[in-house]
This record gives sequence, C-alpha cells and structure tokens, in this order.
Amino acid sequence: MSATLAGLTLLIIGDSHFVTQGYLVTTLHDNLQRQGARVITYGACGVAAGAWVSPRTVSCGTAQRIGTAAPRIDRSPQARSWSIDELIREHHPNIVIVGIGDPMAGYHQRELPRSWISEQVQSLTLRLRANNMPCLWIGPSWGTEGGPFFKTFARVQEASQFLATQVAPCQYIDSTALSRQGEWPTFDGQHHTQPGYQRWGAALAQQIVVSPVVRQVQASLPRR
Amino acid sequence: MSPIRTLLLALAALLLGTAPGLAQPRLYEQRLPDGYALLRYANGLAEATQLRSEFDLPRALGTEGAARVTPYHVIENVEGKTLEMQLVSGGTTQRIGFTIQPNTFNTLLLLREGEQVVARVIQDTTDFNQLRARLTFYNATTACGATTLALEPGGQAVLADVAGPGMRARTVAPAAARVRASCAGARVGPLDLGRLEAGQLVSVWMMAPAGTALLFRSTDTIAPPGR
Repeated sequence: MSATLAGLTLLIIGDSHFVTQGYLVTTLHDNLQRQGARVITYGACGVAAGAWVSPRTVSCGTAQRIGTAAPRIDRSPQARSWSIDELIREHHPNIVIVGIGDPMAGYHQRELPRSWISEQVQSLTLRLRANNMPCLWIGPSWGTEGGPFFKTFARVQEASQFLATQVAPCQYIDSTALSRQGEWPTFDGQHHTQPGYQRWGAALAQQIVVSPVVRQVQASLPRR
Repeated sequence: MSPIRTLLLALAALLLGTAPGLAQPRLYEQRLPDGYALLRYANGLAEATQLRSEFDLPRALGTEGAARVTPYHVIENVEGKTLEMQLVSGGTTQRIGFTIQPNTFNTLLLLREGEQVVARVIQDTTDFNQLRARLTFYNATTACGATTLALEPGGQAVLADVAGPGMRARTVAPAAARVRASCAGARVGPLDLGRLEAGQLVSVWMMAPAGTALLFRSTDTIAPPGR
C-alpha cells in the first residue's frame, strides 16, 4: 500500500455512480484507500446536491461504505439521503469529495437548467463553507450517446463546463478530461460497465492524489 | 411536473422495472409510466422511404444496412390513439395507421405484402445489462417462414424459430460472433457481428426488400426528445 494519502480521512458523497457494488463506491473508494486514506463513501441515486442539505427519500437506492467494509446498499422505499452536516460531525473528514453531476445535467430537458444547478450546488457548498471543509467536486463522465437517459456528449460538455464555474470553494475535477468521448463503455448511456468504472475510479484517484486541495491539507497536518 | 420529466421517469420505469429477466438494479429516480412510448422505424421496402406525421418529426429511411433503421423516438400520449402517417416510397404516397401501447418500446416495420405497403408494429423487449450484450433478431419478412439465427459455421441456434414478421431477443456473453439465418430453406448470410461487448445493444435484421433475403446489423439507440 502506498502512503500518499496517509493520515487523511476522505468523505465521499455521490450520485447513482456510488450506489452499486462495482461502481465508484468500489473502484474510487478502493483506489483512495490503497493510497493510505481512510475513506467513507455515501451514495444517493438520482438526486441533486440539495438532497445532501435537506435529506429526502431516494427512490432508487442509497449506499454507505465505511473503510474496508462492504457497501451497505438500501433500495427500500425508506431509503433516504443524509445531511452533510451530520456526516461531517460523525466522521470528521479532512476533505469532502462530491460526485454529483449527471442528476443535475437535465439530459431530458432541451436546455441546461443553469439556475436550478446553481441553487443546488450553492446549497451544498454553503454547508461545506460553514463547516470549513476543503472539498473537491467530480464532474460527469462522457458516458455514451443513445441511451435511455438521453445523455449526449454536447450536454455533458456544457454541464461540466458550467459546473466548473459553480462549485467554488471546491476544486473541480473534470471527468471529461480523463477519457475520450465514449471511451469508457456504458450499458445504458450513463452507467459504465465494469472496465469503465475501473478506469474512471483509477483516473479520479490519480487526480485527487495530486490535487492542490489534498496537498494543502496534507501540509497542514501535524507531522507524525 | 413537465412532460419531459414525466417522460424520463416513465422511461426509467420502463427500462428498469418491467423488462423480463431484469437483473440490474434500478439506477435512477422513477415513477410509474405516464402515457409515453418509444418508436423506431425500419424500412423493409426496396426504396428509400419518407415518413410524415403530426406525432413525430419527419423521418427518412434508407436502403443500405443500418440506414434502414432509425433510433427510437419519443412519442407522447399514445394511449387510445391511432397514429397516422404519410408514407412516401418509390414514387407512391399512402397513409398508414397503427396503435402502440403506452410505456412500451416498438418497431414500426414497413413491408410490402403483394401490392400493398403495410406497417407492422413489433413490440420490443428491453434489457439493459452491465455484464452481457443484448442481441435482438428481427425476421422482417413475410415469405421466408420461421427462421433461426445461428452461429456460423457451427450452426448452434442463438435465437430459434422466429416467425415473420417478428422478433426475439436475448443477452449473450461478450464474444465475437458470425451468424446466419435462412429464408424458405435457403441460407442467408453469414454476417460478421464483430465482438459484442458487455452493455452493447445490437439488432440483427433479416429483410427481403427486393425478394432476396439479406442480413444486416444495427445498434439500438434512443434519440433525445425533439430529435
């Protein structure tokens, strides 16, 4: 195991890409853990950033994974998102990593819902600021065109570029810069096949390890 | 709730809640479907064909392989309606009418039966699978009889006894494949499908637009609303 992230506790919150075994709840989580971090991942399927400020019912499932334990996945009608304030209080992370992109990109709408995205993002970044939390925000991957969620490369690019301007103080990680369009296979346009999640998780972990946010937090840790 | 949001939710339910043998978990927020359907057009005629209607944008169908088949398009409010289209093909114009059920995937297959051009609705099945490819075989003929899509050269059946016009579908493990079929006892193909990857959705079509049966493949896609 590498010790690149030793001493750090990383709290990840994300969308449907974090709610099924083998998705980022596995691949990104494991990659960061192998770098020495303590990793806690929570996923809530299909909900926008505001659902992590005001918890709500999540009709297509949630997952939580703490450290090396297996993910606990809840697809019951009672599944709910979590409050970011409570998660920070409970886990005392050094950094929060947000992975919410696709549920806010309005693939089914003719126009990108910019105002709504801003409201959603700001509701969450406000809480991260209030908790004095360094943060990273992972944008959507290209996926593939022609699937039932109507994801298109043009909209992914538009959504990603817009998100990049909205997520401050979080550092934005542009997933579209990590692969070519359609390079990571999907089975429904949006959710990747296993090789796709392996490659996305590995690429994200590389970005996180070298991110200025991580470097800055590491520098502030007491020397052991 | 906007019609388009309703559509998305309906589609999610369609795709993730009702497909037989579905192994994938639900992946997106959803609620019960609400009157929408998906429709694609397949040209089994000898000539290029144009379609005009009030329920969909104009569509043009070619005569070369996958150009014969469109993506699935979103059709709103299909409950209890006869959908009417103007069809222009080979210099003749005619009107066709058909119905489709809400919350379904459908292929409208255009065929010549004797002197008549007819439109046959084939209700498709859906299955989005992270680990396997999905293969659908359409016997888009009226005179070939039931046919089997089989591996070439071994002859193992992949999708057996598909009556025309009709379809059968299954998932398959990722692999390279060559296939063949038959028309009235005569071999059709082979067709090289290349390597079928996990998550891929592929249709194989047997058509006989000018009397001679042929095989080709297309990839199943869904067009964004309004396209």
